[in-house]
Amino acid sequence: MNPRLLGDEMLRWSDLDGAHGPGPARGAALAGLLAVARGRTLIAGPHDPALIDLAPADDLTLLVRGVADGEVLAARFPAAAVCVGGLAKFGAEAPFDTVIALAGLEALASAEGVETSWGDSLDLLLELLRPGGTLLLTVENHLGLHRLVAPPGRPADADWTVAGEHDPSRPAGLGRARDRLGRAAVAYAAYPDPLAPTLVLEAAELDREEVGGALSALLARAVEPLDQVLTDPRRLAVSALRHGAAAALAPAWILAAGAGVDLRRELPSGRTLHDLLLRAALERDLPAVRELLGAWLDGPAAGVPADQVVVGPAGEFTALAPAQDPAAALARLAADLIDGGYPHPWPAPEGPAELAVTLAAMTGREIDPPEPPGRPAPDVRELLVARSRLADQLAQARAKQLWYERMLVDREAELKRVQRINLVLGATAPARALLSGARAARRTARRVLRPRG
Amino acid sequence: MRWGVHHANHYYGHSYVLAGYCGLDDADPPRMHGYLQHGWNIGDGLAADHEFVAGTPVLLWSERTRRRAWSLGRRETYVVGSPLAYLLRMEPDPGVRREGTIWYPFHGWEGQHVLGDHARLIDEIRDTEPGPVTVCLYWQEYRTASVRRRYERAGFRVICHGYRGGRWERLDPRFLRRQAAELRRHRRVASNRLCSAVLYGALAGCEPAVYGDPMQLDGEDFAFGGPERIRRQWPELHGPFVDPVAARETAVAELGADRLLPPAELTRILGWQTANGGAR
Repeated sequence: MNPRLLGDEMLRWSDLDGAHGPGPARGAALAGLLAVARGRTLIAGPHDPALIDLAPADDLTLLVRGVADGEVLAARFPAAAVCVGGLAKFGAEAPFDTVIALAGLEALASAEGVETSWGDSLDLLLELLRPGGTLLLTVENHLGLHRLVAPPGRPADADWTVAGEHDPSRPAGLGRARDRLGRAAVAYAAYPDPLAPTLVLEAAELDREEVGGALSALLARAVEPLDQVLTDPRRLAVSALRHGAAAALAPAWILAAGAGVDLRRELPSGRTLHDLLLRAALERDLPAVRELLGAWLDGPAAGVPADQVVVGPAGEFTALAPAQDPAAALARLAADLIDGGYPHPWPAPEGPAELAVTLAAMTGREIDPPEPPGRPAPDVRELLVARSRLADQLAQARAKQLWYERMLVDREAELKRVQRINLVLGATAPARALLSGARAARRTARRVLRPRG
Repeated sequence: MRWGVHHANHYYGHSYVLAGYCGLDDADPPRMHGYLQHGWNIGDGLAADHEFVAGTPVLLWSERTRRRAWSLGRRETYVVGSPLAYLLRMEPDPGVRREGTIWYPFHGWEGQHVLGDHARLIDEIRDTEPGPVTVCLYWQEYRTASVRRRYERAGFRVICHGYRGGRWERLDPRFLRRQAAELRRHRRVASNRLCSAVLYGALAGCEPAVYGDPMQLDGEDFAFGGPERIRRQWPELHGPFVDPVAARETAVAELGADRLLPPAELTRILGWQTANGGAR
């Protein structure tokens, strides 16, 4: 019978539809990992059917907790054994060669079944794996970047118990998670969403300083779509990478015991243009800023966002993203400088568009102010930065207005004085005589004072 | 001072030079949106008696001055370099034969008086300078016949570069050009205090020297250390004969000749884009 109901199945529940919680493990970035599936395979927890398709296994068992999901999967994978219920009730006649749990252990518990701690769930899962078998397990990082930048949220339907990081059986930190697994495992870092990462790479790779520029370009692009955030996740991710903490702050780790997958890619060495420009700007090395901007705008990488351009050791530019309008790329850089609250050298720019025009002028170009880059709602830190900047600008505008007013009064008084003199001098013959006398005196004075040389 | 400070931007013909560099009418420079440093100084780049309106950019000559200004609380600062450096870049050295020394006795500005012994200074100049001497006086001293004649009687050629300009009045657009032309006719430039003129000379290709009684202004304010500090910080420019290479390096840095802006950037920083019609 397919699907097989285990007794603690959840009748009115789906993980695949994403309506009650974080949804299934999904996304093309996970596809490469599925290639490890060999022999008798268990895919435990909600996984996007498109991923399950990729598991090269003839003997496939699927475990989900919602009846609706079980039915969908049974229809989609008629050859697979589909079980519906909690992990605690799931029993297998024979151990599996491969166990895949990319939606984490949390999604394996049923509201109808017994509550098991994270550690108990792991033990249950490991018992299903034959010695030396292959395991793929996603562990969400509760100190992950996605949580650090998230505003306070509301618990979802799936959070009927939310011990989370307070569950003492749940290892906190990558090293402890690895140790708890009790077997040799390769760790992959997953960004930006624990279940739907767009970037998965071996955690050890994040320590390769020589390709730091390319890695920060990948990270910046991966975390960019996060909206509703406390602070720009790109800045935090790149900073984490610089501090050797990009793996420690990854939203999730995927632990692979047994067979691993080589996800390494060719990366150019060097730092991002964004990083180099920022450094030069903060060091007030304006000649270097002009040179970098000029090389960028003169070369084939013009229009590629500065954080997607890697500058190699010989000064060569490698574009990691397609080019857009160069003015738009300048506006994006300008927005990053202003919204980031950096003490950049340009005096009180009115906004990203105006600063972009100045940046272009630093290379001798005259451009029209570009459209400011479209961004999700400003983050909280950005709002604070903007508030303080606007308060300063208002105070300065008031001071200037006061000064202009005093200047106006002063110049008007001067104008009146001159007009009175003109009136008097223009009116009467004696006054004209006085005027010509004054002219003669001035000529004499000039002769005496004329500088020689 | 009731009228604020912007008129200082026109001192010495500075704004005229920059307008020319930006491709604008150099006979009628537009108003600058900022305070342009108008002389070499050891403070925050602004003259001590100038009123400062918050938020108005301070446009400085050198990175060192910018760092100092920042440390003194100035934030809206930007290093643009000195107008003389722009002038020298725009107008190449005509290459006339250089001869003698142009000597700038330390002077006060309007309303200030120098305390010192001109006679002793004249002797020292005579003893030191190998060639003919041109003495350049500030207009106040130049106009004071007793002072001027003293230098003339010593056999020196006595000149004055002109008025630096007052409050938009008696502005002298050609002051800086006249000074640059004089400097480029002399082999040496000297003064009894390190000042703009000595650095200008070093940048314009003269061998600089600073020696003799530094004199004092009546009631001079030494908040930034005065001549003693200048001597400690820039020893390479002090003495009757100094290493011209080291001196030139210092002049390049102090006058910002190594970080001049392209015309498009300067136009924007000075807020002159609307004056330029087409340019923004």
